Amino acid sequence: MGKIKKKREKKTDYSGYLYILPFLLVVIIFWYLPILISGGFSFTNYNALGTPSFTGFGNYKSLFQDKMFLKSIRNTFVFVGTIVPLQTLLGFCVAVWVNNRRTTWLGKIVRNVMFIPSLASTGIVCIVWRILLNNNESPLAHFLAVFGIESNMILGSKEMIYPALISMEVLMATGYYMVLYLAYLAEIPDSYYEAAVIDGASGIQMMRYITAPLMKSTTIMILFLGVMGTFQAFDMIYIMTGGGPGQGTTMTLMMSLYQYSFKYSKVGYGMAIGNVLIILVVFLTFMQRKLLNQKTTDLY
Amino acid sequence: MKKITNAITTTLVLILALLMLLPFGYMLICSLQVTYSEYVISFDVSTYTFSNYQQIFSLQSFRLWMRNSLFISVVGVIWTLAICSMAAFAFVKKHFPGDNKIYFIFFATLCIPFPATVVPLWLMIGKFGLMDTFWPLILPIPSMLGVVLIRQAIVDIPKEMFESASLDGCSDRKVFMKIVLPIIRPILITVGILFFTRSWNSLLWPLIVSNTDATKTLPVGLAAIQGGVDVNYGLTMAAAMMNFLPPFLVYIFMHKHFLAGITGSGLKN
Repeated sequence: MGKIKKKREKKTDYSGYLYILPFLLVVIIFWYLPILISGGFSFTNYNALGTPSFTGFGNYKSLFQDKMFLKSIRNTFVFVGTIVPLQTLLGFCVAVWVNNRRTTWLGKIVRNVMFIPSLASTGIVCIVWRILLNNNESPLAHFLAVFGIESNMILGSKEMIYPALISMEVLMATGYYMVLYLAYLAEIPDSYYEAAVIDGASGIQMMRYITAPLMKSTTIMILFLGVMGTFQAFDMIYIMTGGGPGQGTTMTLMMSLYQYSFKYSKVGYGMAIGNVLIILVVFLTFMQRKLLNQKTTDLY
Repeated sequence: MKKITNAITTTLVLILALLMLLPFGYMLICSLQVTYSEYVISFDVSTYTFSNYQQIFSLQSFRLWMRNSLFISVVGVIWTLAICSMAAFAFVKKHFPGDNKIYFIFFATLCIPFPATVVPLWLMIGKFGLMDTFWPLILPIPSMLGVVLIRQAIVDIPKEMFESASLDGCSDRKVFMKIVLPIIRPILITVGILFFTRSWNSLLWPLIVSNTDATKTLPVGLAAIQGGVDVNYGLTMAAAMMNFLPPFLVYIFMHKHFLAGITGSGLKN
């Protein structure tokens, strides 16, 4: 008995450290060291040139009195609160649609076509959207003109900018979540649905009692991935509006972090913004773990 | 009734797909036309030319951006796959003091948003004098996501494989190279595609650390020229196409394997 157990136990093998060494260095240098630095510098008034002097919680205090920063937090939450539910719902519906047609050519085409935006750079696609909007002869301009909307006014209009940015982001991101949903939908055995059909269940009932419950943990995961992604989104705002129009109408956390650090050289202040972002994200991760009841999913 | 709902949903999905394709179709058609000031879309195939592509490739800075982007992404993916699979192998098959704790410390990095570390990293890179070099663009590409995905694939390899290998006197290094890596090929491809597109398309970090054409990547270069007043749309679209094509081609050739390994052990158990 003892012998068998000994055989089963893995023996201590110090060569394991060698295997993890390169990754360990990457983690230390590119993740933990920056956080330490950022933690330290955020208590100073460092501006990338002079020597930093200690200001205590000064940066954090002025952060929460800074109207622009508060606005950027509010805007970030507006984007997260609209984009994430929309893209998740849309991604789910399309995934169900494709999954029912997974062997037909139409299903295959839609699946692959919708994944295309996830392969492209958000920044580049935004450049094209900008041209489509600003160019009076573009197909999009003609289409919007039908509804009496002047497309070249959208990027400068405080009322239209949000619906425009939100729908563009949803169009760019939905495909990715659709493909993720599909991967998990394909795992539901067909026999579940066959049994339901024999019992006389309608399509809506199957959706309600089979698909939706089985997709619960996938949905939480996808919501979480979406929230993380939207929180850290930078490219779209940078290309489309730069935080404008006007006084920071679409300023987000990432955009204000970029502007304070690299445009106004208030590096200590920028790092304080970064730390607020980290705290927010860590908090959300804990929430998500709670929701999933410690069930680990394999995607992250 | 069923037919009607079917028709309605199909129409809606197709409209959505068309909207998603709109920027790409526009990009493609514009890039094939000599469109200087009047950019009326023409579907007349006989007028299409590759002259825009010839022109952008004759620009030295464009060639440099393209070369930089390719170099960074290819080397970055190889670097990612190498160190992530090594770490994943050690976490599954080797037992060393503190291994679980180290795994947790690594895992926690998934909660850290990379953009939040951008400012301190920029200071570090400046201190080390690595600004405008390829090092800061390539070295930070790997992330824990790679280790997590690859680890799961290694866990799923049947134990018997390793037992028979060790009976035959295979060294760990040989087991890793000759058994593990070939078996987990699908997940390596998935991780490769993920990290290739990610590094190819990243804008924020390259924007900060590369200021000269010698290291500028394609998205950074394009973002810089699009702000100009007199933009030649045909040329811009041809350049945008060239930015889109590499990840697209990688996906076209590899899509059978993509996501093949991701759900393996997810909801099934």
